[in-house]
Order: sequence, then structure tokens, then C-alpha cells
Amino acid sequence: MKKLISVLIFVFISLNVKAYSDDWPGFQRDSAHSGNSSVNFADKNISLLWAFSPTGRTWNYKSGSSVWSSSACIVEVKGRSIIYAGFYNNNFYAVSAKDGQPLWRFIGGNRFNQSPVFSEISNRPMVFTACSDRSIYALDALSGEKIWSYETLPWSYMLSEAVPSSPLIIHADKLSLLACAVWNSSQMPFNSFQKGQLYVLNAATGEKLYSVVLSSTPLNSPCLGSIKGAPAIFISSNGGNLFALNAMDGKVIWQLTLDSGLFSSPSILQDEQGGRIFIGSRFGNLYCLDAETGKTIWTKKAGHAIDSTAAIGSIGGKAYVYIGSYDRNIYCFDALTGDKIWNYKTGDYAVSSCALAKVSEKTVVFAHSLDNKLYCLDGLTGSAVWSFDLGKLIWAYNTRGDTIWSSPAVGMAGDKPILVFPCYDSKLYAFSTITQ
Amino acid sequence: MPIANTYLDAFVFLVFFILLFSAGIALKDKRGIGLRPFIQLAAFVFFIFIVHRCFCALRGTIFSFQDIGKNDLNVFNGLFIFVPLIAFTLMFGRVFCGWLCPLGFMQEAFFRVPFIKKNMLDPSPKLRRIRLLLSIALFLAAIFLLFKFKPKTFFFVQNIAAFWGLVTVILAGLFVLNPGADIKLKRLRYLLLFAWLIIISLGIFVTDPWCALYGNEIDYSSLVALFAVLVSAAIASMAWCRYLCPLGSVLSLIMKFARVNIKRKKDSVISSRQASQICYVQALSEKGLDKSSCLFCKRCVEAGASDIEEL
Repeated sequence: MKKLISVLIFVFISLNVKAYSDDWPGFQRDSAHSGNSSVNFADKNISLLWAFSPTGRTWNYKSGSSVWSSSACIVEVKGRSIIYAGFYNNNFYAVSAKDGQPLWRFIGGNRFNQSPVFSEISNRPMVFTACSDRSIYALDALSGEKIWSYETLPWSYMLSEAVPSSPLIIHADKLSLLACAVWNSSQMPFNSFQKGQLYVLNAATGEKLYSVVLSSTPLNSPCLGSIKGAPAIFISSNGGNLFALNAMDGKVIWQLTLDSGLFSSPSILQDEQGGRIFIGSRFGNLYCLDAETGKTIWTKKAGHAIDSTAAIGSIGGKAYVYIGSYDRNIYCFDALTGDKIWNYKTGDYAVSSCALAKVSEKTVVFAHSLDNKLYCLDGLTGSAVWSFDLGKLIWAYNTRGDTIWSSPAVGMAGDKPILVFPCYDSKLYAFSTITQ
Repeated sequence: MPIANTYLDAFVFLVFFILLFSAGIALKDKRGIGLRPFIQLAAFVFFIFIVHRCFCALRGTIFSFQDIGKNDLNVFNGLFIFVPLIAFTLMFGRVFCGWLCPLGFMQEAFFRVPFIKKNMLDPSPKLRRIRLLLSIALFLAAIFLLFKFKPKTFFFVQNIAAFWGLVTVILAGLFVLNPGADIKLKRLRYLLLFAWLIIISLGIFVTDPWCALYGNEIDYSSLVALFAVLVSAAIASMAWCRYLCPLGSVLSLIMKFARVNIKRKKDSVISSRQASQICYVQALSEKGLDKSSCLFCKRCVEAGASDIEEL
């Protein structure tokens, strides 16, 4: 019976996770945040395909904000490969994956710091994005036309800029839900507040199904798993709490306070053995937790904070976890035991989340470090396969923890595999192999 | 040591206040000096092995002021230590510096090694030359470490702590060259504090050697700074506390309003060598006591050179 439930859960998650074979439809690719793509690059001669610059001017850039979305999404929509990414200049772009030409743009009321998510709802291709103007938008993926928007809080003079998370699509029964956390704060005298709230909306209409206040601090991007056969949302707060909620009504199933602040979003590995959550903490611990109960299975300590989200891949039937740390290393751990398999030292903080893909049918890790390099590492040994020098930051310095860093994404541009990285030098880079 | 979801999460703050109170009471008690090594050791173990949340006394405080009304948790984090610390300093003087600070304790440990202490207090030109050479070697070693571990971006911003460590070495070397310039060098700390505050106010995440004592803020810059600060203590006793410590400089500024003070006894006669042996930070002299440098360690009171004065 237990095995049957596990298989059913696995099927449910698979339906949510593997809706698009070679696409990268949202933050860390899927609702489990695995960051694992099956896209294969023919060889390691990966070179720059094109670079898209959303704007020539950087004067309106504010220190501490991002010049990119946390990661772009790459999808095939009605035969066209499109990349969606939001930028610091209040613009949300759809760019052709083949040549980097902009297809349309949508102007929001503030910056788009978070990764969008793509989904087909009632046969209509839609892209969802949350903006720092306190609103969640649903746009037509082909035309950029606004289908609906949901304002989480009406504007007032005393409100600060909102901190939204990347949205998450949940396909449950005949309904598609959109889960997105938004942190709002007001400095109104005698009535100030800070609320990290999870909103669950009807993805087709934007109608609010429920919302739940979870923290006074910003919430990170939610991921989807299951507890006792029911879909569950796992979400972490900057304040250091990890929550498991029933996805259908928002009731907190369990809540856990970890060792310090959490800027990492949870990832979940759901297999026949049950669900395991992976999350990094500001104290530098990588936690592996039981999804059903929140109990710690193992922890591993890095030399410094872990703000990135863990990517989960499988090589030769064994599951591995890949994560970057402020100690400049990118780590690979055995997902089952927590044993360190390898670490690769970069020249600066490894703050981005890793993306997994294949080069010559071998699993590789695409990772970024603040040493301005994009790396491709062998998934099994950690040896460098390829690296690319990116541009420098367009501002003088950053305050640690203030910025949301972009992460690489892998998808297809027609029949060509493509690696996309929205960089802090105000460019969106796309790479591919020469031979393909 | 967080004990998730229990009231024991407040344990860190509770122990900190208990240690501060104990130090304050021991300072005022005539026989309290005997408790100092125990309180220092307890604070050392507590700060290094138990606490892993950074007790960031300046950067966190300034950042938290900027977060008032925006992020209450950050504000609480930043002010919950700093505000009581100021209050305790106004009540008991700089007991935190002299009795609790783990960085001070580690530097003081150098001075307690008889061989180092003897060499440090020996004014012979030969030993002074050796100390000077040591400071040059330390400077070069710190530069090497700085270069070896440098981040590829933000070299200046991410290495401010290491630069402060280098300044400690330079000032320790200058003291060895001319011990008479000690008072002038001590005044530099206010200038350096001003520079420190400006850098933090710009939003730069400055670390310091203190950060390396905690598990969650160890970066290469603070480790290089810690190395420089600790070895500097073997060249000029407690050089960091004397010339650079930003928190110590802030506390010394409010010291004049403290209810408890240490006052040099007029009828007590000591030589300058005796004063150097008693006072690790060279605040005690033949004629008086430099209150702004005094760490309230109470060693001069025990030696009969000073008295505790309560307003």
C-alpha cells in the first residue's frame, strides 16, 4: 500500500514536473526546482550565439537590484522557441531564442527581479510573472497582451517596493493554480507592517483562491511536492523558517526553524523512497529533510552561507545534489547519504543556482560565480569542461544578501540546444555548440 | 545553538546579558578581579563555540537603522545587542572590552606568554629591531595572503577587513619605531572609525577580524585580518584594541558618561616600566590614566595604582 501511494505521488509530481520535455518553463526548470534538463549539447565547443541588451542606458539602475530575472525561461510556443526574462528597467521581454531579437515587451510598474513561469492554461500559452510593483501578471505568451493582473496591495505613499518570489504553477484536478509569494511593507506611522504572504490564484482568471501570511520577512520561491498523497507547497522565509502547506487550502502542515536566515528556495526529490527536501542556509548548512515530517535526514556544512537553490540530478541511477556557496565553491553531494562527491573552487562567491544538462551525453553542471565566469563542470568529477568570461557588474559593489542573482537555464532554440544566462552586465547571453 | 521553535532561542541573548552583568558586578567588587579569567574564558567559549549568529555590533546596527519600518527582524537583530551594550557601558564602563571580548582575550593571551611579554617590554634596540622586522614580515605575509585569496571582483570592497588588518600591522610597527607616539597613534582610531562608518553607510558589507570568530561570516578578508591582528599583538600588545577597533572606539566615546570609572590614585607611585607591565593597552602611565583607552580590566586597581570611582 505504501509503495502504491509512493508510485501515485511520483506520477502526480511527474505530471507537474515533466510537462515539457526540453523546455525550461520556470525557476529551476520545474515545480520541484530540480534544475535538471535532458537537453544534450553535442560537444564541449560551446560558444556565444547572441547577446541581447534590453537597454543601452544604465543610469536608472539602482544598487542592490537585479539587472536580470533570477533566471530566464525557455519554451517552445506554437513552433517558436521563446525566452522570457524580466529586467531592472521595468520591462518584461519575450526574445526569440534563435537570434535574440525581441518579440514583444510588457512594461510593469517596477522591476522584474524574479523568474517568470510558462504554462498552457485552457490551450492558451501564458506566461506569469511577479513584479516589484506588488502585482502578479498573466500575459499572453505569443503577443504579450495582459490577460489579467492581481494587485496584492493597493498603492499608498507609505508602501515600500514589494519583494515577490518566482511564481509556481500547480496542475491539480481540472484547475490550474498559480502560487506566488509577495512581501509587502508599509511604513505608515502606528500602522506599519511587513508581510510575507503566499497567494494562490486561479491561473486562468487571476481570481484569488486563498492567501496566507507566513512571515514578516520576504519569502523565497515555492516548490511543489506532496505529503500523504496530497499536493504540498514548500516555501522558505528570509527569517529562517521552512513551511509545508497543503496546496489546496494553504493550511500549514509543518513548520521548521532552521539555523539562520534562508535565502535559498527549497528543492524536492520525490522518488519511490519518499520526498526529500534540500535547502541551504545562511549559516552554510545544506539540509536534507524528510518532506512528510520536516525531520532532518542529513546536513552538510559549507565554509560560508548558501543562498542558492539546490539542483538535483541523477547519474547512473544515483541522485546528486549540486549547490553553490559564498565560500566560492560549487559542491556535489550524494543525495541519499550527504557524502561530498566533489567541490570546484571558483574565484568568488558562487551565489547562483546550478543548471544540469548533458554534453556528449554526459551530465554537466552549468554554474555561475561572481568572478564573472560561467562554468560547465563534469557532473560526476567536478572537472571544468568549459568556461566563459562574462562582463562585469554595472554598479560599483553589492551588499551581501541584497541582490537576487541570476541563474543559468537550458533549453532548445528550434533543434539547437541553448544555454541562457541573464548577466549583471545588462546583457542576456545565449550559448550553443557550433556543430549543432 | 538555536533550539528551533523553543524559547531557548533567546538563550544567546540571555547568556550575553548574564556575562555582562557578572562582569559589571565583579568590576565593582573588591575581590572581583579573580573572576575575570573565568568570565573571559566563558565569554570566549560562548562566542566562539556556541553563538553562530554574528554579534555584529556596528555594521549590523547601521544597516538596521536603515531598515526601520521595512524589516523589523533585521532591526531587532541589529539593535538587540548594540543598545544594551551601550546601556551597560554607560553603567559599568567598557566591561565588554576588558572582560568579554573574545578578540581582546586572544590578544591578551599573547601578552600572558612570559617570553613574548618579556621581549615586548624590553626596550633594548636589538629586540626592538627584531620586533620591527617581525612587523615587516607580518605585513608582507598579510599582503601575500590578501593576494592569494583575493576575489576576482570587488577587490577593495571585499577586502576592507584585510586592509584594516594591514593598518594594524603598520601602526604596531610605528609604535615599535617610536613608543612615544602611542598617544598620537591612539587618536587615529577616531579617524579610522569615521572612515569605517562612512564605508558602512554607503551600504558596503564590511567585515572585520571579529567576524572570523563566528561560523557564519568567515570570509577570506576577515581571516587575513584576524591573522594580522593576532600576530600584531605579539609586536605591540593589543594593537587592534589600542589603535583600530571600531566598536571599542565607539564605546570609548561614550565612556565619559559612564557611572563607573577608573581613576588613577594620586598617592600611588609607579615607574613607566611597571605601568607597561600592568596595563596591556598602555593606558596607565607614571602620571595618569588615559580613560579613553582603558579597557576596565581592573589590573591597575589590583596593583594599587588606581581606584574604582562611582558617580
